[in-house]
Amino acid sequence: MEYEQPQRNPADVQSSSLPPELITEILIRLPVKTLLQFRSVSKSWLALISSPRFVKAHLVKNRGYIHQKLMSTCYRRTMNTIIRVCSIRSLHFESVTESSDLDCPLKRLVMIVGSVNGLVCLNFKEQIFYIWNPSIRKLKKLADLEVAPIFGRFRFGFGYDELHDDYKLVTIFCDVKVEMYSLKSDSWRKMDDFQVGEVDTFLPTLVNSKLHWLTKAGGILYIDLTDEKWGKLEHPLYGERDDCLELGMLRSDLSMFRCYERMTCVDVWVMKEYGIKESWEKIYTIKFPYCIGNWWSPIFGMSNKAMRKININILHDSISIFHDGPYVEIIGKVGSHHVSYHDRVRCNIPATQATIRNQMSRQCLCNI
Amino acid sequence: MASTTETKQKKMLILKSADNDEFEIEESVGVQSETIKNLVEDGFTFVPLPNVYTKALIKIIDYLKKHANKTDSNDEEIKTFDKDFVNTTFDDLFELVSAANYLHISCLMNMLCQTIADRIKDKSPEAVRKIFHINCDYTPEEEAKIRKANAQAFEGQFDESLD
Repeated sequence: MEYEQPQRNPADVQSSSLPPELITEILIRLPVKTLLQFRSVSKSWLALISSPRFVKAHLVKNRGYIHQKLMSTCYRRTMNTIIRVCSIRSLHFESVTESSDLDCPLKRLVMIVGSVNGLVCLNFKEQIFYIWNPSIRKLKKLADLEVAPIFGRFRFGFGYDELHDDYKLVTIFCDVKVEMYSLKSDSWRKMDDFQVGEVDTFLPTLVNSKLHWLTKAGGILYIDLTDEKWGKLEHPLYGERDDCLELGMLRSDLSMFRCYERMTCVDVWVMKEYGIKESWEKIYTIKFPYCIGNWWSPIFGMSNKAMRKININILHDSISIFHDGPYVEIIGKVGSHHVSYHDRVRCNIPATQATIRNQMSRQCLCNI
Repeated sequence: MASTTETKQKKMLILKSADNDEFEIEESVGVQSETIKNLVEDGFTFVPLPNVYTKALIKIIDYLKKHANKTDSNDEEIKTFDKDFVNTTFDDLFELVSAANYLHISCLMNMLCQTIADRIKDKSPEAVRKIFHINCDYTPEEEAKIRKANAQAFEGQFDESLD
C-alpha cells in the first residue's frame, strides 16, 4: 500500500529559510535580553517577537523554577529604593550568587505591590501606582485613583488573570471601597461595596488567579481576578487568634505558615485541593536555630522534578532551603540592622540600615 | 535494499526520500515519528517523504534507531550520540529541524531547537541574519533607531562567528 503526498518544490526545502512556526520554536527558547537584540534582525522578526502571542508563548515556555529570580527590595533611610535580583539557579547551585540591581526609574521611595510574570507593580505615596517591566525598561503610570486615601486603611494587591491574559490591581480602602484596575482596558473600575471585614495581611498571595488575604476574623478572603467576585476560605486554624499566621504559595498551592515558640518554629500547611477545607495538610514543621523575627512572610516555595524533595523558602528576612523533612538549611539571613549571609550568598542584599522585602520575579517581553 | 532473514520476521517499512532513495526500517523504529505512525495505523508500509532529503533522512533514521533501543544502561551512550548528532552546521540543523517537524518527532525537535537557540544566543543581529539567510529590510535609519531603543540590551560583546 502506497501513500501519495503532494510534492513540495525542492527549492523551498533546500533553501534554509525556516518557516515562521519553526523560527518561533527556536526563539521562545531564548532569554529576554537576546530577544530584544534580535528585534533588529528584520521587520518580520520584530513583528514576531513583539506579537502578544509570542510574548505569551515565551512566558509559558519559561515558566519553570529555574527561570525565577529573587527580587529583594531595600528601603534605605536615604529615601531611595534598591531593587536587587538574583537567579534562583545561582542561589542554589553556584558558590557565589550572581546578582544585579534593577535600574528603578523612580528615584524615590517606592513600594513593590507585587510582581507577576516579570511585570512589577510599584506604589508611591499610597494612591499613585505604576506598572513596570524592568526587562524592556518600560514604566507606565496608572490613572489616578478617585479615592484619595489620606486617612484610613488602604490595602492593595497585584495579580494576573490567566483567563483574560490581563494584569489587574485591586485596592481596598477602609475595608469597604474596592476599585480594580485592568491593564488591558487601562482603566479603574469601581466595584460593588463589599464588607470585606478587617484585612489582616498587608500584601495578598496570588494563587489560581485569586488574591488571598488573611482576615482579622480568622479566615481567608479572596478576590477572583477572573470573574471579579469575592469569596472566603477556611484555613486549618480557623477562628484561632494567632498573630503569626501568614499566607504563601508552595509549589502552586495555597499554603499557610504558622510561627510559634518564640519565633523558632514554623508549621507549613498546604491546601492540596483548592477550596476544600479538609484538604489542608500540615506538611512540615521547621525548627529554626534562632528566632526568625516577628515580622516575616514566606513568599516562595517550589520544587522541581530534578530536585524533587527540596523546597526553597524565602522569608522576609532569611533565605532558606528546606528538604522533605524536619530540618532546614539556612543559606542567608537578613537582620533588621545588618545582613549576615552565610558564605554561599555573598552579594545578595546591600548591607545597610534598611527594611528588606523579598519577592519572586522573572523576565518577560510583555509590553505595557 | 537487501534484507536479511532476521529482519524479514519483523514488520518493515520503506521510506522514500525527496531524492527518491528508499530505506527499509523496522516499523517499531519508524513509529517514533507521529507522521509515520499515523500512516502505519492506516495500513501503509511504503512511505514517501517528499519534504525530506536523503542526507537528512539518513541522519534521522540513525537517530530513530539509536533512540528505539533506549534502555537504562545506554543512557550515556545516547547522550554522546545526541551530542555528536547536533555537532554540525546551521544549514544542516535547519534541514534536520524542518524534517523533524514534518515527521513530528518531538524529542528530536526539542533537541534541535534548543541546540540552535543555544548557539545563536550570543550572536550579533548581523551574524543571525547570515546564519538564517535573512535579508535586512530595515533602512539604516530604522535600524539605528531600533538599536538605540535597545541600548541596554546591546551592552557587551557579540559573537560574530557564523558557526
